Amino acid sequence: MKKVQRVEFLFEFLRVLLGIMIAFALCLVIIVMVAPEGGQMDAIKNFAIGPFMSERRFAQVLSRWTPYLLTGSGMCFIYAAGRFSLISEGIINLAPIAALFLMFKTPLMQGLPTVVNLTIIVVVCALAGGAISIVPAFGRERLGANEMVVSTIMNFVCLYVALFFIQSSLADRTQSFMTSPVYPDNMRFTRYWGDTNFHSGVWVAIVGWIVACFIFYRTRIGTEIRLAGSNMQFAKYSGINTTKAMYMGQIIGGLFAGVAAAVDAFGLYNSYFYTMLTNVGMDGLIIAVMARKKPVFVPLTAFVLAYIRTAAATLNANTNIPVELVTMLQAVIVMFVAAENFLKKPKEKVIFNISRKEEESKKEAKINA
Amino acid sequence: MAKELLKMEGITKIYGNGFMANKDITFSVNEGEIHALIGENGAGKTTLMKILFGLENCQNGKIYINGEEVHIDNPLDAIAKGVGMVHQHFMQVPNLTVAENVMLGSEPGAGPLFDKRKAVQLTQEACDKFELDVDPNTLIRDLSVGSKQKVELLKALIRGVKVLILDEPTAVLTPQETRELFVQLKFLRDSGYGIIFISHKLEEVMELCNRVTVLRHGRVTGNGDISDLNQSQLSKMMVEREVTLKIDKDKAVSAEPVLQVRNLNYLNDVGKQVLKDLSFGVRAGEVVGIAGVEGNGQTELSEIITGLKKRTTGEVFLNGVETEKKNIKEIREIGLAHISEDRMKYGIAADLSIRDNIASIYLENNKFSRGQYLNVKKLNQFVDQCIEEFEIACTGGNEPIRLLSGGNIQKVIIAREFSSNANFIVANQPTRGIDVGTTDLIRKLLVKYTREKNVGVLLISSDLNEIIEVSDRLLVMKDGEIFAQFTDLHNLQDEVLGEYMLGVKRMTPEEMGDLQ
Repeated sequence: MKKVQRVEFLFEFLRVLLGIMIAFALCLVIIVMVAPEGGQMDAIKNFAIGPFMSERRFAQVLSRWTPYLLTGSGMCFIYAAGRFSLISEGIINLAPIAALFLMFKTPLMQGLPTVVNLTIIVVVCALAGGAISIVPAFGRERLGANEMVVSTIMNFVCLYVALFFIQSSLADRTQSFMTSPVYPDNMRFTRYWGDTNFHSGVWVAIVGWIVACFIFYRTRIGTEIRLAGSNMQFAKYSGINTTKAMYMGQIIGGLFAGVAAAVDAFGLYNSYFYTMLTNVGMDGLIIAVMARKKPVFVPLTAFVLAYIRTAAATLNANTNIPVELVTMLQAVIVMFVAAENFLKKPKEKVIFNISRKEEESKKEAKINA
Repeated sequence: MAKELLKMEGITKIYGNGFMANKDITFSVNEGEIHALIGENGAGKTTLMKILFGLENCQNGKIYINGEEVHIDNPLDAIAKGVGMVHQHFMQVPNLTVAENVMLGSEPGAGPLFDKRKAVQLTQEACDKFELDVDPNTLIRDLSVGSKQKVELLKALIRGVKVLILDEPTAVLTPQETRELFVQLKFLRDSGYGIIFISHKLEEVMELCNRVTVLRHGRVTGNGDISDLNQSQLSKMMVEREVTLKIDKDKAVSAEPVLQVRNLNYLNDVGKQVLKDLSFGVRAGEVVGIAGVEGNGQTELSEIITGLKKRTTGEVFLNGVETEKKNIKEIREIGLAHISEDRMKYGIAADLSIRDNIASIYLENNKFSRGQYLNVKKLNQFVDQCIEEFEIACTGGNEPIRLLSGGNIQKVIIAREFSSNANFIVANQPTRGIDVGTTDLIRKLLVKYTREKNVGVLLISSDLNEIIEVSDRLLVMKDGEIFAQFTDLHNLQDEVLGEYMLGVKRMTPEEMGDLQ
């Protein structure tokens, strides 16, 4: 049986890898087709290794990786609970508003050291995220409303509620576009490598990921969420409070999305000026799916997605190929990763051969005996 | 020589987890015969029939119908090629009428319209032709089990199949219904149909069938004409070795009661009274067996005791505590361990590791945790100890449990439940579909725990051998009531037990004695 387990793991890995590679190859073909005459080589280079070509671009990759690490980890909990709440997306927009009120409407944070302020921001955003995620969870566990539908609609509610607060009370009226005032220096994450997008929020993300792994594998609630998500009836039979586990799975996801919102809003930008959904939350789902809902693999899959997105942006800046190319790429990857039947035949063939060999060796052993 | 209707040659089937269910099986059915396919649970009978009916595909082997090689991709394909199946669990829509169910998938009428009168007429014609007595206009949910089976037969026959597969058709029937079914099957046989009769009841096979094929561990271990064989030859082919394993045990010393059930009633979703005023008890240090044909309330009883279902009325005391308002966690804390009859549904989370599956019942108490923190080191030690003690064949605690064989999965469940320090164990079909070695182990453990640790065991099983061998006291359940109690099991004969199980006889309360 040991061999079977190894084969299963190998094919699982192969499927994800092959999915990424096929998607990448497909993209290259499209790039060659649409790139201007003579510019193909340049376009391919930009897309394939563009993000590595300058420090600024690589910083861009890392700055995307930072929130992905958090939303991806959080999504693992929601996904492991067998729920598909997409509320992270709305949390990215709405959770920072709570911190903004604290920042501009109360004197609390003025004059405090940066570290303390950042802690306040992260905690406030996390709590806001957790609170928001209760809505679809309550809808599902108590009222039986599909959490995916509720959360998808709620994402827009979150967006417009956030805009309402900005417009009504937080906006900086001296600016020609809708934005909050510029964050004071002691209330934002520090930019690294000169003035690149890479910022100190990355440490929050790494710590967050470690905490996620810990909760997922080493705590009672983590194990309960996984058990209840994997087989609800069995969890009930074991005496686990499944309702609590379901709520907790979704709320932990919301807390992590809240932290992601904090590092993104107060690290990447100088002021709050989101006017649409950011996709950071949705990308969390893709990352969790690619990581097969195991938080351990999230840094890797988050990097892959961050890289692809940056590559597409680089390509967009240097050629006339639109950034939307990446959406297609994502679709192809997700299709392969989620397609459990992809490579099923060869996998079963290998397992079949192993079983047959074992059977034969058993027979031989019998004859010899 | 009768014409060969169907032939399966060299069928080999390996499941995705590497389990080899069928090994090079060859099997045939002639026109106008009833061919028995017998074997123990897990011998590969159902898998073989699923391959024939297009529900599973196989790696090797050929299927011939009327001498022509065919490929059957799905059940529709199978029916089109003349193979029909009557499933153990009926595939019917309860809220539609018989005629509508029979016609489902081939509705008469022009275009999108459904001609109900025509459907009733066609169904009635079929009923008359095949001598199956059901009213096309009644709703399925109002029918008895026997009539539902007739509808299932009709469904297959009206589509013009020539080969009929019946998967343990008598398991759910009363003796009268069984007799009626046999008459119908013989009628079909004489009209030239080929019937495959899956069963593990030898008497029925001897009475009904012409030929027999015996499977054991996925291989054909014997076949031939029934007239050349007798029951003991067949059982030798079916069972690995002559096991009527004897368990040495001293007489149980009656002690304080662990479980007390008083006037328990249960009405199911459709309002059928499944348990009727049931009263009995289990004492510390004894195994109480419940025998009975499946579907007479045993499942509901165990689910109510273990907290999975809510009773309608009545009292259940575990260690003196009324369990009505308690949740499963609390009932487990009072002292319950539970081996469920459906181990894939209630016993494990298939995708998770052996470790997680063992940890499940310990998460709510603090055996391996301090606050939220789970002491993985301590847990791993415990898991390794379980693997060693119960001889679970695996690569380690991290292996996903779905990769294990049925017997090893059951060992994981046993290891978890038996090490929980509970003083009352509900064991519902603990050895169903499990290899001989593990079966032996489980039975011995049940006895050992009662004798050494003063545990009370409620054993529900359809394996008569097991229930007579392991129990100290045996109750017979029929229609949600207790029909008999036996305290002297050494001299109990199968036939006597059978009469009570089928409801032919019933003991008076005085004959039964003290049920507590």
